Amino acid sequence: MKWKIFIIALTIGLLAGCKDAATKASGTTSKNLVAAYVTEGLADISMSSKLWQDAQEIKASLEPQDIAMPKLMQSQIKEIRVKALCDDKKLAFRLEWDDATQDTMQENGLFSDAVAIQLPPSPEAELPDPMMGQSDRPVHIHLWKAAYQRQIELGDWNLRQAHPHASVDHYPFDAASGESKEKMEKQYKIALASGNPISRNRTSSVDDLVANGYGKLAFLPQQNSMGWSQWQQGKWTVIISRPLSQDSSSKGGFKPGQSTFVAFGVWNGAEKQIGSRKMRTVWIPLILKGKAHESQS
Amino acid sequence: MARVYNWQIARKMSYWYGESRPKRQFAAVFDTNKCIACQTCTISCKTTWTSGKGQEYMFWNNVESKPYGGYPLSYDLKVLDMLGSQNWKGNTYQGQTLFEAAPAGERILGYYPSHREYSYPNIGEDEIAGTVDKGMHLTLPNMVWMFYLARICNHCTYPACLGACPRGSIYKRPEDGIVLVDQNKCRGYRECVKACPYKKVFFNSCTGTSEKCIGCFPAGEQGTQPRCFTECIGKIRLRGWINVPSQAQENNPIDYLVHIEKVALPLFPQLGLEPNVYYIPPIHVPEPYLVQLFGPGAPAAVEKYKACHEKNWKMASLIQLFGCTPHVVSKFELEGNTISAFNDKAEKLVNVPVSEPVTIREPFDTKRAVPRMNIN
Ligand code: SF4
Ligand code: SF4
Repeated sequence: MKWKIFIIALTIGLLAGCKDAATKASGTTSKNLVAAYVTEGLADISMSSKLWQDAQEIKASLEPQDIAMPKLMQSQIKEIRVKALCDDKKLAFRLEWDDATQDTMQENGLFSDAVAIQLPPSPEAELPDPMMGQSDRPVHIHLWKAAYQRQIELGDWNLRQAHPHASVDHYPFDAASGESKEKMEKQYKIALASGNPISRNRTSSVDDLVANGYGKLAFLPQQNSMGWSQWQQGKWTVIISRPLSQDSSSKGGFKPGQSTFVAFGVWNGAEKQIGSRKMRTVWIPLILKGKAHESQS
Repeated sequence: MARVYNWQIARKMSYWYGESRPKRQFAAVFDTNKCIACQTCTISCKTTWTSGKGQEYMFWNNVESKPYGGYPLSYDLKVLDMLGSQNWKGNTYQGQTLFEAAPAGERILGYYPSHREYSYPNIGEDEIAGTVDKGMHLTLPNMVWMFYLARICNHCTYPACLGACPRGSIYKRPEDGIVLVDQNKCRGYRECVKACPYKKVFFNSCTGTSEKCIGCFPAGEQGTQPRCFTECIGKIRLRGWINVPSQAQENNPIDYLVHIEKVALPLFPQLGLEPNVYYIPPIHVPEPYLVQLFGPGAPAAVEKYKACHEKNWKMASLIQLFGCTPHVVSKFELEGNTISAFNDKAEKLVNVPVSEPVTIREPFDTKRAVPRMNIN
């Protein structure tokens, strides 16, 4: 009899352990993030919008990315706090995390603070690997960088933004004027001339990206997401808003009332984090409330 | 990590990718004894490739005064210090390469130079190692010394930059072994900047991507040497192709100097990248320093070079060919007093007389019975 009790206890113990292991392996957590449905105000959502007050906040723990090389072995930032809102057209996230320094520059040895949202292309899709997706199951990533925000605020890059006392005697395109100057200047920005969207003139602080595995991040054909940010007293608050449907053909994407998963990544510029040197969450269930739920949210 | 063979350290080593040598490998020999630090090379590169926005601080070619100079600041000392003391046994390197010494979670041992470290491109210029004390006189090697080290990207056989890029945005061209950053694919992670011990990849803050020396490949495709070679005032540089030691060709100038005479040596071979710019070491610098920079072959290379005018006329003649043609030299031939260079198609590029006729003007003109005032 004693043996039977012991075996039952052992089985329960093992099953509990299995559940833990299963959560880890699938990279999901059972804590839900609920995107409250709103009827107006999301189109021009701001940091201070009252709509955020009604959205429920979840805290997600951040783990160093220690699977793909180069890895992150440790980090100071441990947690991200998230709220979400949706309407019939958009899905917006308010992301908040503690970061003692505001790192907005991408120069030699200087790295930018950043945050990203990762979603499957649609709720119907089989859930991709939480680490950048996999070959047959891509993920969509919306990456905000403090450096992108800075670029929008300061306008076209020039040396004096980083080195106020620097002087350059001459750029070859200075001698040209009008359209030919613009054309010539572009030729000297090799990445831009080669069509790399990373070098484009920015209108948004968010890149819309797709990945199907490590090292396979690429730009989505359409760039739709917008971002706003604020760093105050050791805390970043960033809003990222994307259309429910990423492409105009409205293939894929989300609808109010659907459930899916979302994951987050955070980079601390002061710790020289960039690319795969990041902190990340597992997949978190995301419930987009629909019209029917509106009153409950 | 794969196991690959690196002939410069005479052993197999670990590298991120398997051994895959290009069909032909870009290579060059720089004779440090002839460099005058005029920086014409630096400026010719600058005006050709890096005069745009975000490139202000970049020098794909730089010339630094050793021992104190270095761009970025102390890059060489930093890398050697990180690697720690290591040993050679004969020509075999017994220490760890940068790939083998990679810390946990990293592909390569490296560091990011800071903003500041790029701010002194010609620090230590002309500074000698030590002070000139009373009673000192000229000896070989010099008691106090300095020399000029001209540097470009080494278009390494095992590039650290390429091995470090998690996106595979860096590639080595199969046709010439030139290492390039795909400007369309790069996302500016700067893993390459961190990994390259020679610090020859640079981050462009304006475009947000990393850029590097392209070995003037458009010129190379036309059979022309890179800009920093053709403009070199000191005629210290020769561009050609290198084979692996077992396939060395005696009439290939690079093979001849590197493999056959072993007078041209790689810079920091111990780091494991198999760099493809080879240096004839300076003859006036103390041995330990030369061994640290160019490996255990440095003392013998110095002796050979010093004696070549008496003992090795072929080598002495080949050195005369440097800077005498703007074209890539695939082969050379010495006949009597004339050394000739040939291109890939075996077309003759140039004939160079090895020694000029010498005329001695006596100080007294006996015909006119007058002393000569200017006899030089
Ligand atoms: S141009 Fe030639 S001689 Fe002048 S610094 Fe450069 S390598 Fe030296
Ligand atoms: S010298 Fe540096 S940049 Fe050039 S190929 Fe080697 S590792 Fe890459």
